[in-house]
Amino acid sequence: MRNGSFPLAAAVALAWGVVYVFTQVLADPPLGVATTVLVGVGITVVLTIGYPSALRGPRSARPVRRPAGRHGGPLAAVGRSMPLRSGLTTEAARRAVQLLHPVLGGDSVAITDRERVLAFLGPGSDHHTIGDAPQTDSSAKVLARGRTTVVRSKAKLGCPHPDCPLQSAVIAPLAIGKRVMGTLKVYRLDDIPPPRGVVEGLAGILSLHLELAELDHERKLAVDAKLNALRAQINPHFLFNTLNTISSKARTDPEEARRLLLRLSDFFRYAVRQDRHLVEFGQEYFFVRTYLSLEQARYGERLRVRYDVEPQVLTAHVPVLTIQPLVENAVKHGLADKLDGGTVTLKARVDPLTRTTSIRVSDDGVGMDPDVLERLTSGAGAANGGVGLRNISERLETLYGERYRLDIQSHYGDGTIIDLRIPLG
Amino acid sequence: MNVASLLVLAVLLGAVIVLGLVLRPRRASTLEFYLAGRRVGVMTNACAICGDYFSAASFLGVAAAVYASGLDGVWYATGFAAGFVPVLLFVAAPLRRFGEFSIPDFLGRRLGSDRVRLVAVVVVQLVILSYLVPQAVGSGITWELLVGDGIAGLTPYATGVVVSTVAITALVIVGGMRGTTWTQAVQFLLLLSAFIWLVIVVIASGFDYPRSVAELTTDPLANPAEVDGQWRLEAESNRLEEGELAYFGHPGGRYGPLGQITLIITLMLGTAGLPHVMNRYFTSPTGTAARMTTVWVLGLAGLFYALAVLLGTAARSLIPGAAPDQPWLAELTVDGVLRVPEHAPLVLGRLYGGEAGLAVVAVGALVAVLSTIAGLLLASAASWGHDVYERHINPNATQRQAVWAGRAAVVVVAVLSAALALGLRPYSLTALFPSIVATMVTWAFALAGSALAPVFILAIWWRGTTARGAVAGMTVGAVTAVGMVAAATVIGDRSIGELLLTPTVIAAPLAAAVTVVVSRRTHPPAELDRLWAKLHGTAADRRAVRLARLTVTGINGPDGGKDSEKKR
Amino acid sequence: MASSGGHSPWADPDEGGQWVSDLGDEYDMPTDVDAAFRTLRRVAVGHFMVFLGVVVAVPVLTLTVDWWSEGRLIGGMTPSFVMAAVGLYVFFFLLAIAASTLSNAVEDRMLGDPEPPDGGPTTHAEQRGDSP
Repeated sequence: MRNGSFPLAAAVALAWGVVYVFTQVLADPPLGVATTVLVGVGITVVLTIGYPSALRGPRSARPVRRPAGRHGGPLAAVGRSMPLRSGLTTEAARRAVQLLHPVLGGDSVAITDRERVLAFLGPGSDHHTIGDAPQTDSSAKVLARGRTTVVRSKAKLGCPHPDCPLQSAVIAPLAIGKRVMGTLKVYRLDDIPPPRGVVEGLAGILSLHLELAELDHERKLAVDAKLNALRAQINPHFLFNTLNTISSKARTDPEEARRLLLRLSDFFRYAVRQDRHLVEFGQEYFFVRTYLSLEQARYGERLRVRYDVEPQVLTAHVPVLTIQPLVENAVKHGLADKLDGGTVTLKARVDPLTRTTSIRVSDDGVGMDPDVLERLTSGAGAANGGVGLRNISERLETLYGERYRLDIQSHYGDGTIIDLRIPLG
Repeated sequence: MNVASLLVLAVLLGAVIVLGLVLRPRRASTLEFYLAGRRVGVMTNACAICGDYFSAASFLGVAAAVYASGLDGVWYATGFAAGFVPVLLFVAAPLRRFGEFSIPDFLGRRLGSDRVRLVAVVVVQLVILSYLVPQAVGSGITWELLVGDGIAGLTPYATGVVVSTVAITALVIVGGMRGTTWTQAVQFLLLLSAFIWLVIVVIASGFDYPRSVAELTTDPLANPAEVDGQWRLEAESNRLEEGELAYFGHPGGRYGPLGQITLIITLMLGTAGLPHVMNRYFTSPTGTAARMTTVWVLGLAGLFYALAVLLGTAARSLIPGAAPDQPWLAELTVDGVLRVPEHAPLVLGRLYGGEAGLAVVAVGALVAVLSTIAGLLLASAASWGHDVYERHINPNATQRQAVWAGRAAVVVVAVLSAALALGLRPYSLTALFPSIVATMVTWAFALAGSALAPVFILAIWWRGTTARGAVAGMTVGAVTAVGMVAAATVIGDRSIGELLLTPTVIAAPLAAAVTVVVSRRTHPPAELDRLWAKLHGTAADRRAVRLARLTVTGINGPDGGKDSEKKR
Repeated sequence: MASSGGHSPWADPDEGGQWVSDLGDEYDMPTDVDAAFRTLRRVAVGHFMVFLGVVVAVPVLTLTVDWWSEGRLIGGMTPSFVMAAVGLYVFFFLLAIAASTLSNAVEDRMLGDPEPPDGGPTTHAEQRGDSP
């Protein structure tokens, strides 16, 4: 964790410097030592109090997140986008082939893995179909030896199809370390083979992507799996109830119903599309308030919500889809069973000195029995209709290791408080 | 006084009026008349607010106060500039988002009460009147120096008052606010360029700002006073330390231990309650734009006042050296010190630019007066025409009738303020309060800051504010402020009078406390959530921004729109 | 074209029109407004305290520290003259920029969709860019 006191120390040092320059160097006569020290101490105290205060926070407009790859020509696209970053799959290979085709100087381009053709673009695609085993002998050779091969005649290419128009080819291996994972093949319709250097170079880049993909894959696999599990868990009861609410409002208040429908689509849009593991708190906050406004439509006056958000928190990064499940638990386990309803409070703070983001979700609902608490934390709660806190804590562990805290306090009949502390990022 | 400067003056005033006519709204709908259709760019609006705000008190008064009392005079400038910080923090964006016509309308809607509206109208009219009078006095003083002759048997002072009042009343009646938004902005730029020109020529002539301050501080501060019919210099006594003399660069020339703080707080809170400035906020397209407008106003105000302080210092430092060689200056001075400190920038203009220079500065002063009077009259018209006539006298009024009611109100208020200005003889008051224009403007700030600002800020930021609380708060604030100032005119501005002259520091907390106490005993209006969404929500802003984008896309065609999307 | 696969639906140019035309979409929930209001109030009060502290500090220093009105800074001006004649205006302007940018950013993030389909934040930037 980066040390949060550094910026403060720098600011204090700067302040003392300014005080010194103004009172001792520029001024004539210089200010007395005692008063100077007093002024310096005063400014230091103000800075220290001000550092974690509401005066700090986001100052810029939101960064606009744009879908990548809308600009530039194919060459630029090859450099910028990494088609095989997600591994050697049919879809990735198809995109790679489409990207590379114009650059490689061949008539047809193909990518195979060890067993099958993953993508083929250009003449000959009628019989070099995707999903088949690589038909040419030369492919087999490259896969076996892991070296680039240049084929100059149709005979050596060894395509079993008699009418195959392909005459020459450069076949380069795609490898992770020594392991050959597949091939990149560039064919031409005449007997002058495509430039070997270009093909080899691009195959090298693609190999690198594959290697990165594998590393990524191993690291992210666990987290991704849990994120997917969480998305899949978006509670069918919630959807059903919300749709019910909307359809009942459709007659009495169509405008409200339309708004709710929009909110519901916002909700799903956000839940489904998150591909990152950390997002700005502001975005998670949007998700939480979308969710709570839908629940408020359902529970009416019984569900009261109070947010207490410091400006500084808005740009702090938090794990995606973490806060909403906590809030959902508060609504479902805390307030749903309480006749006169209650208040859910979301309090978010940042302590820049210790560089922690603390998020507290509390409710004044019915509270939990110790054994329910136990079940929730152990993950069995998911089966119970609740969203497993276990899922969240496991994800937090993968992301932060030991540097997070997730505390739950609950007494039966006295509400629940969930405290989450994560490193400020 | 010569023909050239009169000619410049006439041409300029003519240009201002023509601009007002050319840009006058095509259809005289009330919305257009009062609020210029609500689409004014951030920078234009910032300039227009400055035009409204910088009155004779800023243009002549600040330099005069610095001239007369040195460091302590600077506090006027600081207070005038500081006033926009609370406006920015507490008022600008929510006020625009709520989107009513005027302060009384805002309070009336927010608290759901006609009584609040009427009480606010009364306070607003009082503020406007007490702001108008010093402007008229300022134009009278300027005319006196610039033209020196009266027309039709009036004294020069009276002529200045009458001419400026008539001219600006005609302009407001003809032009409405669109005319004045643009002319207001142009007028401010004119004002600023007059100051910048003056500063450039003064500095080019070898004026060294820091050294002058040091030199002026070596001898005690002395100002002319009339003793036994004879004008002579009297050293100012230090009000911080008994028995000491005051120095230009040191505190104590004007305020005792409490004076600075009370003055600053009075000016600081007063701005948030000035109707003509607040009405400008309704012309911003969105709340965010209103906020950014205020930031620019603060920047421009800082620049303007820093220059004004420099000019006051320059006048003090340079005029004694020039006085012996200039016969015209000898009439105005006693041993090289001006009898009326308000003359300082004008004299500098004449010293460095001849007759034309005097005309430029005088035009600046008159424009400052004119633009402020225009803003005040329009605010007055809005509050009579919209808040009283349309709501209470003739609820079925057509747009035309409402506009005419506003125009009639303009005439009445203008005549009233001119009459009050004529009734005051500035020379007699100068003895009691140096730099009379700035002092009188302070009274308007005191009233606005004591009666309107606390209630206003509470209504925006405290859900519990109620109509009864607001009425009680405004009444208590207004009565306290008026009572204290009235007491001060008897006591003078020494010791306790200092506090009485700037009553906000006592009256505003009192008004706020009364508002809170009474509000706690009554119930806030129903539908608070809806009001809150309007006041603090940005949905309308976002809609407006979307609509604007859509319009822009419509103009540039969909391809243009896509291009800009790509660039993002 | 190669990269157009797998995007979220609102990036689709064909659907863009449908989103833009529906101006009624913008709506604030009362609880959201209340939350933004609280945070903004905190920002405003915090800045006001700093403002008040600095403004009142100048006269207080005058009364308590002799050096404040006797010492010489730049050329011949006393620290208190420098502060009153120039320093405070610069301070006001900087404070105004700090407060307004923070408030705008908070409103941007706490109300409305954080990533509106037609790129709302840019418009805010344009609005600010209105001024030179």
